[in-house]
Amino acid sequence: MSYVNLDDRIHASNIPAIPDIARNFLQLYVNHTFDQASFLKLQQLYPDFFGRLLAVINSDHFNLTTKVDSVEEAIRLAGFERVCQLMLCLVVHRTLSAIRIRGVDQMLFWEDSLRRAVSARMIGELIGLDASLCFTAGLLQDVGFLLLFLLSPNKGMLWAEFRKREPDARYSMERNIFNMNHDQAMELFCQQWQLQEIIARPVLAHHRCDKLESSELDTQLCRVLHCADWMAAVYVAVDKNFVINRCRQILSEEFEMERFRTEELLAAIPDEIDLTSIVLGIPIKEHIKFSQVLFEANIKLSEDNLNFQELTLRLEQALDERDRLAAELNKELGLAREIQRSLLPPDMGEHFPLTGINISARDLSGDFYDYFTLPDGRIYFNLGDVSGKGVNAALLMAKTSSLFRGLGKRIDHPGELLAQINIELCETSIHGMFVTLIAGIYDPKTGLLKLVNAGNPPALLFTPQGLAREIEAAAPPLGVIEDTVFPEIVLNLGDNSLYMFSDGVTEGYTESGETLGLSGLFKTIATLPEQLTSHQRIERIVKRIQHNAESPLRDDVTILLLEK
Amino acid sequence: MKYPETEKNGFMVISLTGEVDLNYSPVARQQILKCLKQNKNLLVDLSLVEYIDSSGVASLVEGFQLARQQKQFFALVGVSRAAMQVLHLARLDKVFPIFDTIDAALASQ
Repeated sequence: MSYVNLDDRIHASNIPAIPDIARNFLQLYVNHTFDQASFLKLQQLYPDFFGRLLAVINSDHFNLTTKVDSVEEAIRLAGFERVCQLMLCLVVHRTLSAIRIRGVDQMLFWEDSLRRAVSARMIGELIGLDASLCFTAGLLQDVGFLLLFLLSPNKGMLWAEFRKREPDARYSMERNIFNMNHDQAMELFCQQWQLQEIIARPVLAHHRCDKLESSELDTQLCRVLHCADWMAAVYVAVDKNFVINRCRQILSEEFEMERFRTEELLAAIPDEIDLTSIVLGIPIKEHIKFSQVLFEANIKLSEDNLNFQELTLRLEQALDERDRLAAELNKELGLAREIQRSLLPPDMGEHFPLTGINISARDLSGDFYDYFTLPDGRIYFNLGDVSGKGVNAALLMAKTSSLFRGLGKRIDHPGELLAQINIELCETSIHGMFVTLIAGIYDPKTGLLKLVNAGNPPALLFTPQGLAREIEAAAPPLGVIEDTVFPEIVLNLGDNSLYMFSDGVTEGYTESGETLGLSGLFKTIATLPEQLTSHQRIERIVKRIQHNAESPLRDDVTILLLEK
Repeated sequence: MKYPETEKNGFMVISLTGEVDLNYSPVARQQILKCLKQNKNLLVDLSLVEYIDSSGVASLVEGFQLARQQKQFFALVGVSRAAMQVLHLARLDKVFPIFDTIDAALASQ
């Protein structure tokens, strides 16, 4: 079963056969037959055509000194090659323009072709290349473009769109729409008309001259055609500024043409094609003047400029808006920071068993600590760290801290308290955020301490002699899994000191650039002078990772110290 | 930036690499969730992780929670020393199913 839509097929058979008149003439040319009788015979067979051909040869276009009456005479004076080229231009135009292709305006197509032809001829004249050859190749170089529509008759509606594009864009658009390029279509044509030996090589390669492996003449001609393609596009492409600039660039690169010379050539095109169209009998329709091209280009330029100004204005407005929002956000952040600080407990002085510090690495902290005294004199305390940073972490921190205070007044056992908070956090879990928490209840009267460590770095219990014991986490953090059990350890604090801290302390950088680590913290605490107050000791620890007021912290730092 | 994803015996394997911190954990999170939302069983390979912070661990926790809820298989494999230290410290090594190799994880099913 075939899925090919008949209308989408390339109809190679749509390419018209070479007319007899051209085939016979080309045969004579290729075989170098130059006898009067053969030409006379041809002239008698096609009197109208040769009448036209002789009229062109006798016109200013050919610039002959003597008027000629016969083909044989024309060949003698103008050269076989030039006459053959002219014949080809006339036959190809006559044959193809007789075919109606829906959607394609053939008159405009040939007008565009004439622009290429006169452009090629003008460049050829400047660089000393055969002007007639350049003209012929220029006229025929994009015949393949017309053939594409002849081969795919249902695509004719796109012709006007194609015409507006500059050469490179059109070339890639051809590949997308037709699955072939105009040079490939032209190749089919050259095969059918047996033009391979005449102008095929440079014409077929004018979009990729650097790939052409041929004579110096072919390569030069190819480059001329490439430039001519862009020069003609100045008159029809939409983005005129771009095409004019590209023309200047290409002509400068290919032939070291100065900028003013390029513009002179471009400006000369309209008059040249007016004359040529009359001589060759190829009618034209649009007669676009260069002043019109420049006018449109300038309008486009001022439009672009206006767009640019508008863009600048919008950008300024956007920046103002951003500043306004940033100011608002900073105000909100300031408020949030204030609220967050208010969640930390007040400093109770040296006689209270707990001393804490919280320094945030950013505006808002994900760490917290808290303590409060129950009616019977026991003290509940906690130190926690929320995963992640920023507003999310701060909000979860506030929630956990509030739950701890609220539920702590009713639940005596820290393990049970954490289990309750955990259930609450799991129920409203978002983005997998969790809270590591170390919490306990301390009775100053008896020294009894119940402690739970849920995913927090170990607490360090120091004896007055500087010996330490690590109290590691016995349960995962809060907010991970609902049915978690939080085991308590019970001990007598006695004269010992319990240091609790967030991972920002052990992960902080020391002055030498290394992380402090647990062993570093251990050493720091063990070597603290005995006479220091709890506040001073905490400050000394912080100094290990915050060397001066300006040095940035890697993470929030929180320390809570419990001692009798 | 995207972490490598492979498929083995019908299991997706996402291989986290380097430093899975605040900058890269959103990428890990997105890939893990996308995979689980496509109802695939998932193994997260941590053998090439050099550092993972709490936001990175949170991405794993979220994946773990979603898989539990949707009754899908979710496990960590080949956990590097650096990553294991973090997981162990927080006792999360007791929460996540952890296997030495992908094959060992597959064999458990």
